[in-house]
Amino acid sequence: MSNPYIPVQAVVKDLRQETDGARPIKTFTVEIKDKKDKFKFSPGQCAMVGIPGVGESMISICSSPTQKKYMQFSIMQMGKVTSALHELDKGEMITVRGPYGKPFPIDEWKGKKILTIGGGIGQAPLRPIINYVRDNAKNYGALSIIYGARSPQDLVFLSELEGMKKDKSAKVHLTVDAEAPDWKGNVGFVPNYLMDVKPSPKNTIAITCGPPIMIKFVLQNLKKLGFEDDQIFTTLENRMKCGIGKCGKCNVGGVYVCKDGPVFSYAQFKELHPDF
Amino acid sequence: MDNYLLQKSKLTEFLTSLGDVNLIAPVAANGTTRFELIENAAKAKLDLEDYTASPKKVVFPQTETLFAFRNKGDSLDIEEGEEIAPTVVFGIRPCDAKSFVVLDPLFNKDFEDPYYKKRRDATVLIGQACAEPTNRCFCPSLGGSPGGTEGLDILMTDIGNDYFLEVLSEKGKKLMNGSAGVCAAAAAADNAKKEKALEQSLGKIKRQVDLKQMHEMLPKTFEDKMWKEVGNSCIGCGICTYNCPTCHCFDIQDEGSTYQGRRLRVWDACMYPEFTVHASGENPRHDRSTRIRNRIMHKFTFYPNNLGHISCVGCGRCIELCPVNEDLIEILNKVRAINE
Ligand SMILES: Cc1cc2nc3c(=O)[nH]c(=O)nc-3n(C[C@H](O)[C@H](O)[C@H](O)COP(=O)(O)OP(=O)(O)OC[C@H]3O[C@@H](n4cnc5c(N)ncnc54)[C@H](O)[C@@H]3O)c2cc1C
Ligand code: SF4
Ligand code: SF4
Ligand code: FES
Repeated sequence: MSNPYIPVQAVVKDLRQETDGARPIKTFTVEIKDKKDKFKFSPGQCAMVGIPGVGESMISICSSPTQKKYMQFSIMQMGKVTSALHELDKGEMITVRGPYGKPFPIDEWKGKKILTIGGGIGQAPLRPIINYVRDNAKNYGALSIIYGARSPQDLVFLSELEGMKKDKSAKVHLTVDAEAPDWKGNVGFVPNYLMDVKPSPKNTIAITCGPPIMIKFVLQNLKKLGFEDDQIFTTLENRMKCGIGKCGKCNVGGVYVCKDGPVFSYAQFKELHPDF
Repeated sequence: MDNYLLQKSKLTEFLTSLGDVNLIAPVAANGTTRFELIENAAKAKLDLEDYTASPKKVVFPQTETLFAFRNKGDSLDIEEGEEIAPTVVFGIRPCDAKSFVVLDPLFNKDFEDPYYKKRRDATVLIGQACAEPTNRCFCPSLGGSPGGTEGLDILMTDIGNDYFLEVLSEKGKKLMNGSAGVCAAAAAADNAKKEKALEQSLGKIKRQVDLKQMHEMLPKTFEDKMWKEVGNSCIGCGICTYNCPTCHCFDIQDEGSTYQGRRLRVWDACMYPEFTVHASGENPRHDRSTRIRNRIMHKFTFYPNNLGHISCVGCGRCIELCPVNEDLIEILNKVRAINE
């Protein structure tokens, strides 16, 4: 009988500082130590990343399953666990358990154009979709990325995104909240920028993730652009401890975000209990 | 299955005959009754009233080690959980035994919880029919009764000079293997006495609540001001959850250092703001009214919809122990009134 509370051991192979400031973000490249402990996952799923003696945090797996050797997590330093994770060096050990949650139905999107709309650290759960679609480009239509953060320094995965612009593997639209020196991209909030970019809903799937207030307005604007409920997907967050639907922390009404989410279509999202 | 008669004077002998098991029984402490591991079978009592705490902790302890670890630099030694000895809970009330049946699907469905399962499998429940239901009891509204057998392996009913023992499961049958000799065979007349005793007990239950369609009525009251009123008097102490036999929410905490320590699971309560607050400070259940509403909707709407049981057995503890007299039955009656 396998024990869902026991994590597996992994090694931090690489660390990349994505942003600085009060709440810095680092991307951790980790490799599970023992081959037999490796697990399959799909874009949108998460894992509990932890340090025994400190605790665990639910984090989106932000690498694509097409990358089989390692997994990546982009982690914002918030409190106890994420601060301890930020202190780790390359070569140190962490623990991982998962995968948790329902993934994006990415196979059902074959043949369609993909549009991601992200804000801040909310770009993390969108990244595996982006990389998966690029790695399987022949199965999907054009890939567009709209992404924004407070300032240019707060944009995660910036060099990757600029790379995609260059090699034309995606249409990348970046925006920041306020004017900044050296910033030549758009200035304005993500939901407004979405209206400027004005993507066509035709044969397109839109996926959005970011702060709750951003999600709210992006959803409204996607509707204005003519997207149907089943063309729109989002991911939600709630406080989590067990990850397996037992501890009772993450419910929105009868829905447990850890096992029934975190991915929801807009049609499902609208059915959620008003508690959210 | 089989029925037996046990002379009251032979109770200690009977308990001793159960063999090498952890015997958990009600004991009197600080003016309350609680379940404890007892070394000496003579200490087990059945005449104690008013069980403040259910023996839920036997299958779901308030603090439990998930694993102990030792960090050796490049590897981690992990030692899982604790060894569980065969255990008999003696004197559990029918409502509390039923609460185990309510908890089973939560812990067993989707991801099986090995800690709960191990304890549950190792535990035999010998119940005690309630001769004197308290004035807070309303188990019949939840499909129970003072002689309810759901979840029990053996039920004992006081019929005067003897206890009437009903063996209800394979587990119970196995337990009786070494103990049947202490008992006598029960006759039809004894059974009749038992039925009469149980009927009398049932007649003593004073409270009730109509739960018909309650799972559909609750969501319709979501925006009602009634929840604000209820929330305003609640002081958020969490007593109603800690003493509830069906509440199951927990937290996971690490103890020790990063070199050596334990990961624990500990009871938590949905009535505390920390239960749901995000690291960003945002809290989806931001005040006491949203928390109490969630607690009651969880028990009477979400849990039955997801797992097939109402998450309440009608023990009435949350009503009796609440320091500001929040009354679950009155709240549910208000929900019905708003709907009608
Ligand atoms: C489905 C999901 C995906 C996530 N993906 C990412 C990601 O890719 N990158 C990232 O940086 N963050 C992500 N988060 C948020 C991250 O889990 C929290 O920021 C983190 O748990 C905070 O822990 P802490 O110990 O540093 O903070 P503290 O405030 O010290 O938190 C203490 C405890 O509270 C819990 N907790 C607090 N806030 C949250 C929260 N928002 N979500 C879940 N548990 C919480 C944790 O269990 C933690 O152990 C995700 C959360 C969820 C639910
Ligand atoms: S909700 Fe109240 S009455 Fe129902 S089982 Fe829990 S403590 Fe008992
Ligand atoms: S016992 Fe009463 S006051 Fe305490 S949290 Fe429960 S309802 Fe509120
Ligand atoms: S995190 Fe425990 S129930 Fe979802």
